[in-house]
Amino acid sequence: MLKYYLKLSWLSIKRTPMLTLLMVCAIGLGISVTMTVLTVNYLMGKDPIPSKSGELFHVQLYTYGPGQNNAQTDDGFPYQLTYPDVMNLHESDIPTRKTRSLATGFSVIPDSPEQTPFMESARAIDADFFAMFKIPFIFGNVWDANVDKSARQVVVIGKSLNDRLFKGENSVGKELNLNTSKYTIVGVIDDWQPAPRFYDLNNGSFNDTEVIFVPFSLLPVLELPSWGNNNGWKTETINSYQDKLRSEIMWVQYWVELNTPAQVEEYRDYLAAYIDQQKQFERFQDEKAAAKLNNVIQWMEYNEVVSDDSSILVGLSFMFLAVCMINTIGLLLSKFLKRAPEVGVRRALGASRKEIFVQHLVDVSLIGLAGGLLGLALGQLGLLGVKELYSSYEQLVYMDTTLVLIAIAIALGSSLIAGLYPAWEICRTNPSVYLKTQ
Amino acid sequence: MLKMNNIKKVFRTDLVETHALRDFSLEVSEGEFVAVTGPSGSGKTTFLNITGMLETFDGGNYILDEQDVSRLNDKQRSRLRNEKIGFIFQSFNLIPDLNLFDNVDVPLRYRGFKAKERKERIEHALERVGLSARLKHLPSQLSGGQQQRVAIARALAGEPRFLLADEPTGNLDSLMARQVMQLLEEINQQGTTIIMVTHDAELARRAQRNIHIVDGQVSDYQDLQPVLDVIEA
Amino acid sequence: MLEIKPILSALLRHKSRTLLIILQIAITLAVVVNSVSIIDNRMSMMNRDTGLAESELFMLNVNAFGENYNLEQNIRADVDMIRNMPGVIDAVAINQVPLSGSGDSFTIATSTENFENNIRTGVGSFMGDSHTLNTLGVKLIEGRNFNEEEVIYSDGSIDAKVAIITKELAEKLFPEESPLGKDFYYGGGQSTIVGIVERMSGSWASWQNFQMNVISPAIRLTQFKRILIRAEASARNELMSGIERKLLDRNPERVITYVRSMDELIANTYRNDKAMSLILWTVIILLVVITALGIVGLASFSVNQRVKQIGTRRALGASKFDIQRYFITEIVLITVMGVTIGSALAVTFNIYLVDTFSLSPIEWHYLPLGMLIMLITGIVAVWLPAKKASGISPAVATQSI
Repeated sequence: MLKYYLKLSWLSIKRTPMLTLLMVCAIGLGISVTMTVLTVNYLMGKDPIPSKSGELFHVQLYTYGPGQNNAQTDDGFPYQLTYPDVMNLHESDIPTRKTRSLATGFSVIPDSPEQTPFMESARAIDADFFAMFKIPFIFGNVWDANVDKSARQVVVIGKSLNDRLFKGENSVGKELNLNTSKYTIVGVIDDWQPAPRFYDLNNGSFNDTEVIFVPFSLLPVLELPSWGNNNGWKTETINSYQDKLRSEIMWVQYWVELNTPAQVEEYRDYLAAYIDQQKQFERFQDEKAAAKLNNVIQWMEYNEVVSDDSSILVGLSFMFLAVCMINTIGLLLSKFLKRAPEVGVRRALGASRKEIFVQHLVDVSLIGLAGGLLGLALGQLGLLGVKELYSSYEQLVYMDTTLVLIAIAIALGSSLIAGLYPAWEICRTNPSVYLKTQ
Repeated sequence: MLKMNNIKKVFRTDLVETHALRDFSLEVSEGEFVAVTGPSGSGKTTFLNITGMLETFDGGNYILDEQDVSRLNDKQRSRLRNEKIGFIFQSFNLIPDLNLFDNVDVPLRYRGFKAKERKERIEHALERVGLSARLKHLPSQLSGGQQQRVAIARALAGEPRFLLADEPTGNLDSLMARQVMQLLEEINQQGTTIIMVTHDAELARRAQRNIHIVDGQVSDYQDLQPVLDVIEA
Repeated sequence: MLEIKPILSALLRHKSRTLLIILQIAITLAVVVNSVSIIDNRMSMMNRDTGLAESELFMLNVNAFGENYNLEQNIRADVDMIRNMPGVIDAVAINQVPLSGSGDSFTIATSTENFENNIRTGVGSFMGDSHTLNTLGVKLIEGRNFNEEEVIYSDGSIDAKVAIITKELAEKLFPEESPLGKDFYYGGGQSTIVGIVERMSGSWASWQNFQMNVISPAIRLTQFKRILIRAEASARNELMSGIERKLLDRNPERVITYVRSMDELIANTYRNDKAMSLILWTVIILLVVITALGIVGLASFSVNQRVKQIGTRRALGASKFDIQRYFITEIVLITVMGVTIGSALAVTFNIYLVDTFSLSPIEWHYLPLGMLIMLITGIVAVWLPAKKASGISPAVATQSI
């Protein structure tokens, strides 16, 4: 029967081409707006590292003195940590992997004097960083673990920098001049652009990733500046980099990898014990003092990566789709009404109401499918528009398979819902009215 | 085969109650050719719709092949209509964008026959009405008489218990009307029961039995043949 | 004679179609009203007076890397050189650039007790020399500018003895009295207010205290330094393209980056708000058009259903205008029902938006404005079908089916 209904639907479309076209356009328009907005929204909040997002944790510590909270977060916890805390936490061997993290930058001074020096953003991290976040190497490897304890001037660079300075060749062993100091290249990583940049949401969630990675242990040696946020609540005299390293200023980040729930529990206990231990140094004096662990998805939600504007637009777009669908209901009523005489004949010849109902739902499904495909096509235009308007959304304007399926599902689903009433109306019509009997 | 006892049908609006059929009774045996006549407004249409199970009724009972149809739901009535009744309409009511083959096919689809069986039945039915050469043509390419013959083929294809014809020649000129009537008589002679509703007395005479409805009731119950014999004698 | 009752009963007979249009009108009103409210908010935010000489300003970053790079000497030399360039009005080695999205802030209080008890105000912290006000283009309305002797050059903690604040901040700290000569307190020190500027924007456009700023006479000696330059509007572009070369010629041991005009910074700051406004406008227009088409559809259907009736009315003496008026009255009735429901929907939706996203509630005049727009849309949409209806010949009345 399905094949038969499809054939009848096709004939019906040929009979009322304008009306059908109007409907497909109405649905297509509604779907395109919805899909453009949904795509951006979905990709904003999409898990950037699904294989490990539940095992990577960002550490927060409530270090404020009593009544000194100046954080902008809902729960009052600051986004970043102090240098002493990060150094202390790094002693624990409970996490499978762990890394300290600071956003910084360098002047890159190329070898040849014709090339002018340029700035590049960089990150000071520990060796575990690359394995933790599954960053692939194309040449070489990360530095040895003991460099994280006794600092050496080594560096891992990104593919784009490698292409720019070394024409894409294997540059392992070569030297890089950063701020007039020489660093030995130990590895080159492939292009890596997670969206969002979940490992540092404090400094631009959708910014480009860094292309220079140096050991965190170089911080006190080279007095690396912070290119990120620096937040201090305590009145302290900071006259030197050493002062800053000792202070309660929150300017560095810490990520750990905990693979099992038991491990997570153990680490939580460790953090609680750490806070207690620090209290004897007159730190963590507020009664709210505690530690917090957020995995990748929780950290993204905490930082409200999905913008409010995007969420508002999702709501508005569904209302827009509703209006398009309501319009379609009216058009369907007209289209089906035109066919009422034929329905009358079919009923007289023995079609049950259910069979007429199903026939018209098949009709609606075809239209919905066509509308969905049109909506997908128009949606691409919409995404292009979004890309033009929002400069930082380059990674958020493509549709993956999931989104295409969602589009078709919404198109079919909403069309079927819209079609329920017209199909019900038409199958209920009294056949004798249309049979022109006597 | 078909029995209607004291059928009552009332149409109610806010202000007016119309008794379309009151105390209407009829019995039709297999193989009969019955004509139901009456002036306009007499209830012929209502009778037609009720006999064809297109409408329900408010009193009495309707028994078809020993089965009481008043208690049936829409799905069951549709099934019965599909299997037992072959409709023929005054305005043919062929579906304009289906060809002849597909038009005759319509009731068979709702019967659930497989493609092979449907094909056989359709070809046989169209042959019986003399139109098998024009299988692929559209109704618009046929004359009125030919269209009605297709409608008859459509009605016959499912081997119904009886044909229910509503003014079958009303939209045809006299030549085509005669052809169609001839065909109906042939079909009846071959054993198919026919119930025909008409207001044309000439037409009614071709049937064996006449039933006359006035104001929703049977007024005359006549077997015309002896009367005609007397007149012609 | 408005024939409302017969129109209403006619509509009731086609309940479903009427309901569909009413729903469309209702939802459209709710979306339009809330969208216009959001757009209005963003526009007023973008149109705030910055207090700066926007068309004359541009900035750049100096990233020093030299081994023996004397920060103070180079900063002074850079700024002097720039000040003497043709077309430049003034320049300052400032710590943060307004409307750049990147800056410094701290909290201050009117007394040490208040500070200890956390009764503080968050303010933007701007540091520069005595050329700061002139470079920014802000207007000094009370008190005095800094003099060069007051300016502290330091690479460590800075404890400036005096400060200039913005009027908005002055009104917050000292609502009753003149703030000149008064002190404010911060972690590690206090400053005396010596001047008030009328208005000055900070770096974070969406911050509540965006225009509460403190300017201190200090130059922080850091390897990363920002320079803000004010030039004649006609000379700005040329200066921007040549300045990196000139600075590197003077001393090549640094990287000059982010040469941006204030106009670019502002565009960046408000890019997302502009985009949102544009998207909302698109949605509004599309929605109104779709609803209008729906009304056209309903009106055409209504006319076609009643061809005989219209012909009869004409035969009985109705004029063309009477017929048109019938359909316009019909659409007005439908629209009134639609906007009534729509208003309730708009307010409900707005409450949800205010609760969930901290948006501002809609102003009262949006609703009647929205209703008027829907009414006009309805009448315009029904115009053609109504005209067509009035063209139906009275002879139709005598036609048999």
